[in-house]
Amino acid sequence: RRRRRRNKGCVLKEIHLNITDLELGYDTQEELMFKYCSGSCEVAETTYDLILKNLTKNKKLGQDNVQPRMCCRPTAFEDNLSFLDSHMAYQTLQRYSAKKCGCV
Amino acid sequence: LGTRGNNCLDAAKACNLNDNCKKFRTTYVSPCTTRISASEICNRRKCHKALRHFFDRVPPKYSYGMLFCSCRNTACTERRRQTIVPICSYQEKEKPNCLSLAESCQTNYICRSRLADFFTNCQSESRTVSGCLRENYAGCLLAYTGLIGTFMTPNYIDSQSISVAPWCSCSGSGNRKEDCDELLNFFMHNRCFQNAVQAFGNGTDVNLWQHMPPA
Repeated sequence: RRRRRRNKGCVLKEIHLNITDLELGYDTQEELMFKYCSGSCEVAETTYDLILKNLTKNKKLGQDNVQPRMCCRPTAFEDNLSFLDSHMAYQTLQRYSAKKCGCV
Repeated sequence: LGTRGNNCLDAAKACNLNDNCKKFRTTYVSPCTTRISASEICNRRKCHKALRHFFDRVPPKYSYGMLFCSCRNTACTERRRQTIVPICSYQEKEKPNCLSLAESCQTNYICRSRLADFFTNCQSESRTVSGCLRENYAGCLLAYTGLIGTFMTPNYIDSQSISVAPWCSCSGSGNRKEDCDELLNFFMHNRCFQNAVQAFGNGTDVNLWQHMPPA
């Protein structure tokens, strides 16, 4: 709960798309609801994040490319999605759409 | 319905935008399209079970929408024919005799009761307005979808008509040829069933659908 309150910018959004909009190479006229995670994670959530933030600020990690901030990412995915393509073959997408978001 | 309209495609879109329909559609497409070995293209038993769940648990608005959609072109009819993933749930290398298939059906209680429902609810009667002895299209379509996922799984046999049949033939019927033809014709040339499908596709049977219990 603490995480959600502090990083309330990270939320689940959804958009109605054609499956071809995903540009995964499928030839079909079917559609889907695509859910994604949006928003920023400003507050350092863990001691690890706080340390990284301090070390990068003080230039103690040299040229290392570290991510000192959490990212708003899916923490769970939607159920699979099946559809029929234009060649009358069924296709199934896995881990294609977010179900829950969090700062990780 | 426009000339370029595809009701079956529209029904598939509606299904995937509904969480429940989407879930149960994927739940049958996966086992019905997953090859299990070099010789077996799928686990037919799992595919049939998942198809029964789909028709048992998804409201007719969505499931019938995909199975009984009305079509004006082959892109539409072919999609309609593919609804049950026939390569796994329907077709086999050989076509058994329809009477032998019905005998196998009688050994399984789900199949036996559902075949009896189909014969009862889709019985044609030329003197009624509906073409059905029991003037209840919803009952006939429910009985038909009940057969999907059993030994007697029926499907559309071509892209020209709404003629359906289980995967069987009447060759090798011997002296029971007439019985066999009668059984097969109950599927292939069933005016009650065909009228019910048309009424659903045209949306002209609104009153009957309102009386259907929620799935």
